[in-house]
Amino acid sequence: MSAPTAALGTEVLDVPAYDGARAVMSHRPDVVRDGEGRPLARLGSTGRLTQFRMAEEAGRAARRLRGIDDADWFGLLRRAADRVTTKLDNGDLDVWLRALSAVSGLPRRRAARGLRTAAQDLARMEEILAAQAPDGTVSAYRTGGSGLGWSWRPAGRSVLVRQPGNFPTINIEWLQALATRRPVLLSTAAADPFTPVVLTEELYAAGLPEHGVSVVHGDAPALRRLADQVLWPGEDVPADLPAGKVKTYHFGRSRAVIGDRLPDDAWPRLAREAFAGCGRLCVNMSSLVVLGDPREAAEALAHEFAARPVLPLDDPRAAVPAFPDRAARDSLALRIEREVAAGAVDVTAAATGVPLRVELDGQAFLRPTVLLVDPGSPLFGTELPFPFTAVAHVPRSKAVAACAGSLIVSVVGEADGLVRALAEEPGVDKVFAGDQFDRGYHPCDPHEGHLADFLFKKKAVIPGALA
Amino acid sequence: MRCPSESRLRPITDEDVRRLVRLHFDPQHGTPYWLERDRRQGTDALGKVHGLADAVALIGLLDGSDQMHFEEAARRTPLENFVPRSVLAEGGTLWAAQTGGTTGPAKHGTWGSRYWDDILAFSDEFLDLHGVPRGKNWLFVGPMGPHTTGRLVVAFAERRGGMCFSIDLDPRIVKIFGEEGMTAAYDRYVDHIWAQIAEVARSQDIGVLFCTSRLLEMLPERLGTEALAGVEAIVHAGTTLDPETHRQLREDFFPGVPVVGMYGTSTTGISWQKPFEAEDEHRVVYVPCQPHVSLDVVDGQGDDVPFGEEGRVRVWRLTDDALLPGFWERDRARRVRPYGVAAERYPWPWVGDPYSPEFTEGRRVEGVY
Repeated sequence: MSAPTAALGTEVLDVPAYDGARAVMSHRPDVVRDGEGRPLARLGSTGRLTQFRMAEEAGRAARRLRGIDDADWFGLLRRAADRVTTKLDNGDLDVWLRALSAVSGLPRRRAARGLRTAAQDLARMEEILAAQAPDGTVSAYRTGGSGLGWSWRPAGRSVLVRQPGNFPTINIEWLQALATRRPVLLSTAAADPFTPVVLTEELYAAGLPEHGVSVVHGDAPALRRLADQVLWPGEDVPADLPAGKVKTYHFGRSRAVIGDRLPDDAWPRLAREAFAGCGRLCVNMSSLVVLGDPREAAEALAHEFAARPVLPLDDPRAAVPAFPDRAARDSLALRIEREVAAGAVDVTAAATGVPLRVELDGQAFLRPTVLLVDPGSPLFGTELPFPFTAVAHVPRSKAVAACAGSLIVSVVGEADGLVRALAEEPGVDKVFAGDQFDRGYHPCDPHEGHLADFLFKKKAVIPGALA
Repeated sequence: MRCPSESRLRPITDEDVRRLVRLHFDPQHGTPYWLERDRRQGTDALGKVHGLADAVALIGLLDGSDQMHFEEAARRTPLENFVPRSVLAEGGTLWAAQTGGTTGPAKHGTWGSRYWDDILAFSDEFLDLHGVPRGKNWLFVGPMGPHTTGRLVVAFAERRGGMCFSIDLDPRIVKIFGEEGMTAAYDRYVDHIWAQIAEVARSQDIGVLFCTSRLLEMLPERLGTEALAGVEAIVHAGTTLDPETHRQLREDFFPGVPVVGMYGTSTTGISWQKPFEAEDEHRVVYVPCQPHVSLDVVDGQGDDVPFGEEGRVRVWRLTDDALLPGFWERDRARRVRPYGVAAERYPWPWVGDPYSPEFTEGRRVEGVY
């Protein structure tokens, strides 16, 4: 681990960029500050020439990665995962986690848990990739598959992954791309430049071939041009990215449909879904489609929300994120307050007696919120970056339409025929029901489709055995 | 050190200041704008400024409303307001220059024929020091039209025995594209620039490339590393190269080819990068063109910062056709004590790594300029 490599009076991390395995700082690094403006970290910056070289070298590294035996390759990934886990256990990453918490507003223990989960996912890539391969084997990523009428080959050499900073677990996106033996050009988010660097350093320490991964902090315009493919978070794709070159991911918007005869533990389980990843995941239940009485449902959920109060970020029980950017917090609060002024009911206000805007330890929070709304409300179906669920009554006949544009729809209780209708709805990506309604994210499930379907393509290679 | 072109470079003296004050503040034949300011502020420059220290104390522009008054006058009033009446009466050539216009409407200024000649000699001296070959064609990629850089570079090339091919770059339309969120138009414009560069590179024998720093950084990704394989020297201007990029250009992309920086503006003049030495650590350090131009690096009160520290760039231009008494640039830079082989020849303070803080990544104008 190269960091913390320097300090400026107080502990200020050096967070280098990585040109392959080479750490890159700069003479005028970008400074990352906490919500009070105090410097936390210096980020290595990379000019366009470095990005050009990264892209060139990534293209060359593709062949090297594909030349590694399966056992060696997945062993390497497991070793890297073990190194991260060991460092977490030993407290070696505490300074990184403190910085991550201060910059992102995530409770420190949750941030650590997120990083640990990312490492665990890295360790099980063999299982995750096998689930995506056309013949169910990980060797297909290296050989093109066997017993198929076609050959399964990379759809490009390098792939640029623009990393969001909402929660460390989302690093699984680029880790999967790497595990398929596609060299990764990684562009980090302002809210979390730390997790990608921690993982990258341990991958190289575990023996990752040179230029398997390169890391740029912030936007990387040259890499956007030069990478063969791009994974882009959210739906605001830069205009200079051709449609066929980019796959969007992590746009979120998950919902739950509340039917009849709910399981006894439905509400605590739904609340857990809303609070997973501190409410910043794409799988968080942001809306509740209630076929029956919405007030009853909202109050039951608010009761569970009330058991998860705003706590200081270093409190081990904390599950509610802060907003280091106070203006961003206020802007979100205003959107909710406008809805309340228009007739929505902030059910959690009564359940908790806590105002929406919370100040604690000098940090700005939003109290976890259940908002009873009209289904036409702009907040119904909107994902906000904290535990927030909008609840509305929707008649059975309109439930499927109300769920269009969802990543996950959880059907809770009995809702006759709805699961099948939702599964047929093109605007719904995943449907969970029965006892699995809160399955959330499982890395082997298709999630916005399978990533491998973008990174690889079927080719006619005849005779395939010789190729 | 060898000084091949024997330019008139030397430190500014008190006599230089007295001569310029007599010229610009002569009640009959002086410069209308400075005379009016002298009256307005009750300075009596002619009677009280006897040297550089007096000039700094008495006639330097004050950051704020004083400088703003000057800038707006330079935007809105006839250029003759800023030229001594005696110089206008002499009838020599005056180049009407405009600033880039990236921070507001363009400001106007002049380059008189004597200053122009001295700048060309100064430039030749530094181009020779850096090993930029003579007798080669140049390719200029940058602002032509009202911007002085284009005219200067054409003169460099022709004076040194080559022709100058040029690709025009309009920073003002780039600014509009950026401010109005016209991303597609911006991208198309940049593509247009590169397509033109590629055509010239394919068909012409180019020995020297002059390019904005930002475009230079994009060159390998846009044209590949072989498109300008015959280039024997590279000159760049605009945003300063960071040391890593400078190193990569010299060592990885154009090994053995001089990479030379030029720094300045259309109204203040230019400075050239000092001869490259290992102890520069690839930082780009500039030598101002004294006695015509002095670049101070100052703190908020206008006092020089210690050598090695960063401050705001403040320009003194002391030429017959134009006086610029301590103009506060937006740029920041490091104040550098002269060192290395050029220290003896150019013993006045240098500036290192200048940059414009407000030209952040969000401002796309920086993308080409």
